[in-house]
Amino acid sequence: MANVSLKQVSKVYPGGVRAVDAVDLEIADGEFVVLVGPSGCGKSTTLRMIAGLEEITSGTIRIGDRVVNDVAARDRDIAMVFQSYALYPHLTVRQNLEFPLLRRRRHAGRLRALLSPAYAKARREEIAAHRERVDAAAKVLEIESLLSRKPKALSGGQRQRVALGRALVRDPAVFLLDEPLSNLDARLRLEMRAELRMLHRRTGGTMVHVTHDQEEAMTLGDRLVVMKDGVIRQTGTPIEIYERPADSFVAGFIGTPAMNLVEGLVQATGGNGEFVARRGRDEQAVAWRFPMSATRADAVLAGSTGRAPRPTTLGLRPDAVRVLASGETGDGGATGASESPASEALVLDATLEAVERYGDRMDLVLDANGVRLVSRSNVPVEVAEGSTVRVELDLSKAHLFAGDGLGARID
Amino acid sequence: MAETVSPLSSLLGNLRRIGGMILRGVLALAAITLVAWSFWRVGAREFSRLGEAVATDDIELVVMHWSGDGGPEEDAIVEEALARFETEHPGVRVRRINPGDAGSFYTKLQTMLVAGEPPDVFYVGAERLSNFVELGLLAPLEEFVGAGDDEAASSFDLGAFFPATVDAFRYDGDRVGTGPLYGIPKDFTTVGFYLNLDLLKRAGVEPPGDDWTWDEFIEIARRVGELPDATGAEFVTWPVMVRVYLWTQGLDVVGEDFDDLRLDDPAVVAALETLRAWRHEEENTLTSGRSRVASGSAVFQTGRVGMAGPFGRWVVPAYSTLTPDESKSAGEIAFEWDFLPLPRGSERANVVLTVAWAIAERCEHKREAWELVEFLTSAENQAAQSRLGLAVPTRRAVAESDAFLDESVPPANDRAYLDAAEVARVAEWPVDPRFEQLFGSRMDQALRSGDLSLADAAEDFEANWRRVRESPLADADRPTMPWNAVAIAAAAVLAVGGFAATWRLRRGAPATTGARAEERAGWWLASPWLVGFAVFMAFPIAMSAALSLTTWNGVSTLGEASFVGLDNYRELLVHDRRMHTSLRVTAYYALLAVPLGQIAALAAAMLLHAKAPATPLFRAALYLPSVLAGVGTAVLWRWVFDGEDGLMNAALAPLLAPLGVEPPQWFGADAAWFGPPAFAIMSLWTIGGSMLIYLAGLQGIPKELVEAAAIDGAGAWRRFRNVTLPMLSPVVLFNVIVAVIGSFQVFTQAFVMTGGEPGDLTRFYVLYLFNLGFESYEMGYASAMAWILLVVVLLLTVAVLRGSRSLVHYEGLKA
Repeated sequence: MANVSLKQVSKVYPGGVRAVDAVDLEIADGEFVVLVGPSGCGKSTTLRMIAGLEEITSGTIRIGDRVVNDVAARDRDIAMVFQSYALYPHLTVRQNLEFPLLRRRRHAGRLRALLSPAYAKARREEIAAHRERVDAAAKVLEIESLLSRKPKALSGGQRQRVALGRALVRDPAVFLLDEPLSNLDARLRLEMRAELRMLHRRTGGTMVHVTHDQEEAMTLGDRLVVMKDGVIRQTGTPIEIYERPADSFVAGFIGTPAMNLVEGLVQATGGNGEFVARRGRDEQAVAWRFPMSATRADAVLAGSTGRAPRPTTLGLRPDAVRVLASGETGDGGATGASESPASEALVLDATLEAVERYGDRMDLVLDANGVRLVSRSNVPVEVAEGSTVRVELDLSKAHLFAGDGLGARID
Repeated sequence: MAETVSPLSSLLGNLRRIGGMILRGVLALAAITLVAWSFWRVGAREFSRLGEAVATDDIELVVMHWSGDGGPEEDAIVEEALARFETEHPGVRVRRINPGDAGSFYTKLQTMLVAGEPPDVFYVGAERLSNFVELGLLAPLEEFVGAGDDEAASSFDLGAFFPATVDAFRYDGDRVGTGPLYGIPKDFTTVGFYLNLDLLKRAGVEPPGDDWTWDEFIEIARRVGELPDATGAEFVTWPVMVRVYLWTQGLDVVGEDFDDLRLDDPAVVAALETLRAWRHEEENTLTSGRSRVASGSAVFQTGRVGMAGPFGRWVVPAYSTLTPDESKSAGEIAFEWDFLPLPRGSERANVVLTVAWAIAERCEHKREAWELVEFLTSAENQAAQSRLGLAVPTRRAVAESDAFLDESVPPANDRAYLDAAEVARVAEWPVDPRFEQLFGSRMDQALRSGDLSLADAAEDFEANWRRVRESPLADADRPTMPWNAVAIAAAAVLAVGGFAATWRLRRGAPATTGARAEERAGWWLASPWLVGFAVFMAFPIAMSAALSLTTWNGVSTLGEASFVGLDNYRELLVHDRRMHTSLRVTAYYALLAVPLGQIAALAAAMLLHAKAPATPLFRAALYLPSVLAGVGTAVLWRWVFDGEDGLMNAALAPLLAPLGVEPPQWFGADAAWFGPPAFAIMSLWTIGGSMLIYLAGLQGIPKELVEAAAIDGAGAWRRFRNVTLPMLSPVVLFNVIVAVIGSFQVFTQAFVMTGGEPGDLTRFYVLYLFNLGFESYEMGYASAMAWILLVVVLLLTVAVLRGSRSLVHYEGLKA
């Protein structure tokens, strides 16, 4: 087992496409790190550079104490699981599992075995030892009964297990997993997630896992690395990233349903401030506004010259948007935008556009005067689609991001 | 979501359907029109020809000739003569066919003969006379020439011709030279040597007179051979030249008839041994005979050979350009040269090589045809022909006029051709062309390439020839092929097969009307191919199967084929030594060419698959040879493998020199071991097709598999051995089978490059098949050979399929 370290690693393809841009990443020994991001963000390229399947344009990659920039994939002591599993179709499951061990055979010579009994004995022992390892890995993954089959005769989940087994059998310094679950159906994916965690616990191996599925990332990783356009946007534990997303992209990418991101601006009003939500793309049209405390407004306006109104994005997780039952007034009390500055909640009228029911919870898609909001409710809300409801926004849970290109978090 | 059909969209749908119908209608109409038009064109042409003739009572004569060495000039001369004939003979129209050279001429003639529509008047070489007469193709001309009381015939005086040329076209059913006349010689040549006078002068040798001897000949050759960078003489060992050489010694290869072989006569052996020793035991006296490229008449044109021959008059147009004059630039080869008749041994002898105008036995207007022949062989036309310089006019008066003896054009010694005619004879060969082929191939091997002793050559020739004579196939009293029974049997098989097929199709017929319509459409779409297959593949295949049970010469009508049962097969498998040799040669080649070719193709494909710069360029370059004309490239490769001046040996010589080994004479003395490998090396040039298939296969292997293997610790070799190769194995199997089949069908290269020589050492199976079918007129025998090849290839394919079962992995193929 080993740690992995990337320093200022970049990948530029011929033609100038910068797939990975100056990535710094430290992965501790035994850590389960998930690289997550939308497709084309550079996460797979990063993984393939660690594997040695892709040359790096600049920077340094270390595995353990060794700089591996110029080390061939076969000499990096890594194991990799591919999205397509990449099982050798002409070999049985057992032969697939044995394949990575072939290189370690010190007594491979068949001819020499014929000539030297001692060598033959060593060879037999070695073969037996390798057999045991394969059997052990097969047992862990519960594929013992499949060992004599060929990959064609296996289901997707079984192939996945064999692919994992092939990585497991040789005890590598690092496991690299390239979207290993995305070819599985939803139920199997959940099962395999748990299995992966279990495997990580049992082997204690360093694992680098790539996925575009943020939920998979959240549930699997000790630590998440969120990437976009070849750049790391945030690194942290799943909770850190969920609770304090570093920018509006991370905020919107992590969490299901996605965080509500409302475009608008923050301006000073007397001693306090207020957030003005924009309606659609129109800069002038005001959907609604809400007051904010002086400290918060100051934090935002500190970033603009002469306390001029500053474009800002307001982020609210769906569980901070609550549809009020009829008769309930909510903490905001007043209707529309006429509420007391001290209040941290806002009550609005909104049209219920659609309802998604999950049984134990439901997601409500709302239109609050031209701003689309998603609310998550754990209690049943019996309102017909198309009718008007009252919605309470819990502003104590609001995140604020700069309204410029990068959308950095404002605290 | 429920589909709602708006009136508009349904209207649009209808319009589209109607549009589609109109388009299909137009296309169908266009296709039918095109077919109808082409039929009409061809039909109209034939009918108008017929109609004109009928309407005007015109007689049409079809004339066929060649213009090989004479080129467009000879073509024009004949054209012009025919035009004059038409003017002078109203009521007779002449249609002229000129397929090109003599080879194409005989191919075309053969096709026309089989079709039962031979040309009325055509060229016949004296060497083919007996054969054509035996086949009943030629009309005897006695009634036109011989009967003195006939007013028209008396004007034609055979005495005006060189007697030897006329005798060449007499055949009495047994021997050439006597009996009825079948052709009027148009021109002829005798043979001798062409001398490079400049070289002789440098060697300090006086050119001898016409009455020179072989001793003088060899003395001059030795003297010239002592000059640096020169060889004494080129002496071609064609069968006819070997015989003429023996004639000058008062000998021959046969006695009274062709069953009386004289090759074991000590005098004959001694004479031939002298010839062999000149070439193989002296340096630079005769050209080595190792190289086939630098032999024949072209050798003389290098200016580095003292004498070349025995050749006839036909080389003169080519050699004329060698004479020095002002128009020549400094670098061009130019020297003074002249002609001498064949040297004298114990006696003077020479051979008449001649071509005649003949009339087809089937010709319906023999009287008019005779008038045409008379016209074409008239003094006037012979004089015109003689302008070409290619041959000697057969009319003595023309030959001795300035039309031929023109002093101003070389060679100076024109008269020598005429004088030689006085002692010249026709070289008669048995009707069966295999005698000359066998004799030529064995003499070539013994005298020229020198890899067979004279005794062995003679023994081998005799054994082969005796087998030809004595095999049951030579028995003439065979029943004719019962074609009616064959046709009835074939019809019965077809009927039963058709019924069974229809029944099976009916049983599995789709239930719904839509599916039936689709199936019908499928049959319609496949029908052009099906018809083409039936007519152009299935029928010929069935015919060749039937023919393999007969002896048929490929020239007479099928009705004359005689039924011999399985005798062809028995003869081939048990007795035909040449066939066994050809099979061995071919198998040796296949054993080398298939593995080498596949390894090279796969290696090239892998290089192209690796991302390298300029890949498309290399891909095109590697594939290019596969699209080049086979004949052209074969000629080039012949030069590459030339024993003396070839690129291959020039490259090998420095590599082999330290080992004290000389590079092989690929198509000469070392042909037994190095001939087929040379063809195998050449075949590497055309790996493009297999390479592209391998490339497609490589591109179909998922990249992750190779990557996974790399990560699993496999090096380049193990990745190839354990991943790429198994994944590619179905493609390899396909390519190997195609290559095995192809390797047994080698023809063009061998035909062009070596013609099977020396001896039979590069006579590939299909080449021998061609020799038999199209040169020996043994079409039934050749058909049997083709079927044996089919079985051999089939067995090999099955063996490859069976043997590769555990090695081929279909799991890698995408479903």
